[in-house]
Amino acid sequence: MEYQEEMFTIVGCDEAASEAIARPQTTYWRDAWRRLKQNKVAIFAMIMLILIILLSLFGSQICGYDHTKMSMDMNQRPSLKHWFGTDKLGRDLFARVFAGGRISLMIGILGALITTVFGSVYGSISAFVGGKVDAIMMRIVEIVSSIPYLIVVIMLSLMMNDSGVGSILLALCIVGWCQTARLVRGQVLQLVNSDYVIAARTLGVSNWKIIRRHMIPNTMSVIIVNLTFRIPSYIFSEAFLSFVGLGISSPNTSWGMLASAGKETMLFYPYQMFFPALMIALTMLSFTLFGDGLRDALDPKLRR
Amino acid sequence: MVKYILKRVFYMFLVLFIVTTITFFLMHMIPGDPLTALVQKLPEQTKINYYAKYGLDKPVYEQYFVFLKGIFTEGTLGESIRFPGRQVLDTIQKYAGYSSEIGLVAVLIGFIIGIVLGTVSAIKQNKLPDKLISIIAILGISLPVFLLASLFQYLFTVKWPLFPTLGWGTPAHKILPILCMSFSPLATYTRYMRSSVLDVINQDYITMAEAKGMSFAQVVRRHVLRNSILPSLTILGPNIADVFTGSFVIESIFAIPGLGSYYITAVNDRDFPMIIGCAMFYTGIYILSLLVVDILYVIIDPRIRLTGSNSK
Amino acid sequence: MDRLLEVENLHVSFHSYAGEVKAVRGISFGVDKGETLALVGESGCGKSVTAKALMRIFDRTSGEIMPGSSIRFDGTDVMALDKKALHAFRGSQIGMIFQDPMTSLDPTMTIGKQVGEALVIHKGLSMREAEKQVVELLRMVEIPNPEERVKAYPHQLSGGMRQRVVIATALACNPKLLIADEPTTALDVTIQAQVLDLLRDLKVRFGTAIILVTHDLGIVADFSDRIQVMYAGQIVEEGTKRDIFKRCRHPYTWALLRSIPQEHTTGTTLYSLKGTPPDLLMDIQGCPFASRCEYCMPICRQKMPERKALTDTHALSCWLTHPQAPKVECPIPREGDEEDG
Repeated sequence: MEYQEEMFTIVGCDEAASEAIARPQTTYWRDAWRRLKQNKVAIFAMIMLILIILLSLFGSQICGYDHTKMSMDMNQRPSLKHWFGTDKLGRDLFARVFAGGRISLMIGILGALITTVFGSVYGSISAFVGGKVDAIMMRIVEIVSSIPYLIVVIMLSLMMNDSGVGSILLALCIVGWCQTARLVRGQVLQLVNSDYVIAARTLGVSNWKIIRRHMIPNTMSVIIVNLTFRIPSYIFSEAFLSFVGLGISSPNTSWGMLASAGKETMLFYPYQMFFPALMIALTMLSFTLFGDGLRDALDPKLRR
Repeated sequence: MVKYILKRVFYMFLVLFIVTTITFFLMHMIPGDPLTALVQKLPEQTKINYYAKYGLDKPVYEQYFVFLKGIFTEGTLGESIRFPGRQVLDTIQKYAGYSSEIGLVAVLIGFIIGIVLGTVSAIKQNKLPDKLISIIAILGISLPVFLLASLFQYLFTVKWPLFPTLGWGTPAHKILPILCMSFSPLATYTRYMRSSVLDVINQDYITMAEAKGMSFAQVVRRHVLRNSILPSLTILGPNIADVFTGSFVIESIFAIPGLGSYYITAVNDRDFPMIIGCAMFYTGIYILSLLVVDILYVIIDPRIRLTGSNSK
Repeated sequence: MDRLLEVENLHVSFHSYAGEVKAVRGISFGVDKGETLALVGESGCGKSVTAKALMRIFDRTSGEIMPGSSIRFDGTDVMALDKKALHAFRGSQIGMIFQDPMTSLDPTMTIGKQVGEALVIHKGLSMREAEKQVVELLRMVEIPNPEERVKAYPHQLSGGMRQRVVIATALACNPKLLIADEPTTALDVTIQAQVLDLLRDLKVRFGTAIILVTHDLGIVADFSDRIQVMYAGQIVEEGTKRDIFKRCRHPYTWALLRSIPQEHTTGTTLYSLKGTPPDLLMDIQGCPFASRCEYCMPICRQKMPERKALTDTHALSCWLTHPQAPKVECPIPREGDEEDG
């Protein structure tokens, strides 16, 4: 076969072309967000969560009833007037469910935040300082975490008799931080001993810069994912305690309390149990699904 | 190995002691005492006699020493205040038996089914079985057990009366509670197992086993299961303990005379000796199951060498 | 010599969410009985994938051997084997050694059992009977105290010892072909030599054919009979050891040879090839090496050169072999010619 002569002149390698990166470069967080957006389930869960939070904030304004106001419409089935029906004191259940949601979500989110922040700081210090301090700090974690948490929670919530949000939060937080502390310690230890951190050290990069450039970005994903999974577990704990009568008490309300109240009348008015139960399940489901999506999106191992 | 276990057992008693002490003092800080919980108004003299009888008139630390003395000299946890004459130890023994009949069976069922489902799910990753199993698993961890129990009770005893509603005695009474209690561990183990199997089947030694000519089923049986069961084992210990502590709801919903519901009653009655006894029992079970799991871990994974330290 | 393995038009693709990664793009080659063939190339050029494809090892994962590929081994059509026949084939006909002995042994099982598994499957022995043979196998790969070592767990052995265990496993059923996928890359240099010596020894003793996958031309030089240079999923040049080391014509092979440190290069900067291999997600137009080639011509960017056989053994795909192309001399000093290749 004959080709044109100029096809066979040596032009050499085109360095720009060979070094060009074929795929667009993205930052870690932008990449994670892109992956999260592709995960339809996670996005659906996120929308669900935003919706639940908004309803909890503005629930009573939306339906026009106050959650504590009693009326003569007792034990009404769900209708156009009362979307979720009313309870035995004639209070609007829609308003009550989302007023309860405010407390449940607050306990879940605040509890998860507090324990995660405390646990992360504790775990990082333990791993960073190392040596004796690490050993002692970890021994404390071990002892605290060998106490069955329900025992502590029950004792504490009894002790602080006021059964307000604060005491439940405290009770949940006192035992909850151990797991995060362990997790973060493990992660930080791994990083401290990783080759690139050692390399950075050898190059004389300051401690602060190592923390900012390597430690925080690399532990952040683990911490954020942990946080997302903690929220439903605190919501569950609160609901559980309130359900057995050890949690929030009147006039405050929460999903656990509403479910507990609904349980008594379940045979006659199943909807009184159904709505708070549905909200608990939906919220926990959404947080878990969102957490799953977040974990997949943030896991650098899956990045290609 | 023996040294390690001895050290762990010693450690266990230390924790038990700390928990007991904390519980004891916390308990006495709870407003109210057994008497006020029982009846509101009593003549002054009766009250004094009553307090004296149970040593409740003494300062807390003295009561504490009396309590410790009881354990070490007579091996007793004392007598219930609410139900005079009932030994705490006997009571725990009796009711814990009922709890474990439900709880242990539930965790074991959950564990076994979870392991199987998780493995299937991982092997069929992104295919139909995986999707179905994932849905079950996600429901299992987002449906609180008390809701599930209420739902089951409503559906299967009221709507379609397949099972007896409440009570205890026949095997039929156990089915619903076990079903409810096994759901959440089942879901947890499924999720753990799925992710660890996915991890393991991408290891070189799995490829190598396949290159030897093993069928995939053989590889799974001989190599995958053994290596990927470890994370699930780690949570088996706490899970078994949770069965005992977390069983009150199930027990109260299905009216099972287990230790959980008894414990709650004791707390509400301020039955001090019972509360302490239960707390000690729960803590003991918890630590014991952690220990058993650690030992199992060593048996399965030879890489973990026991140096006598507690840190893994 | 008898043909043992005949591969024709092998295509392997991986399905990732970003698209189809064409890891191996239509390669053909053969291996004779008792012969040693080396597959050489940079990481990611498809050499390991080719090796695994011979046993269809990634059937279960996202990898797929594309239709139209043909693999014939000693009279059997490997592509046509059903599951059961495939399992019987793997391990008994072809044995495989993996790159990293740290990860290729199951940490929870004694090495005796792991080596014995192959015997149990293919020879129908019981584990107990197999264990006796395992001791012999371990002795054969020169593991000291084999009677005790069968009970050891992988973490109790050094890297070199583990690699010997892997070799024993691969050879357990006297396979006709041994695939060694970077068998020494993960080992210390001193251990590398020992493992290579062992392999050479076993090859002579049992007459096993070997496919050696490596990126290290240094190993290839004194170990193999024939060499195939791979780039971006294709074979760019192939020939006997002499063809490749003394008479190679492909610029990529030159580049590879020039990056081996040699005595006469002491004091000068070692040659290094610029750029990165093409992204295998993309379709490649023209010669895949064009963007990094010093001798690149306009035609190279437009059309893939055809394979051209120079002699019975030596062939390459490069436009420089075209009659219209300018004559280019090999940039490597040929002073090593007196020493026989």
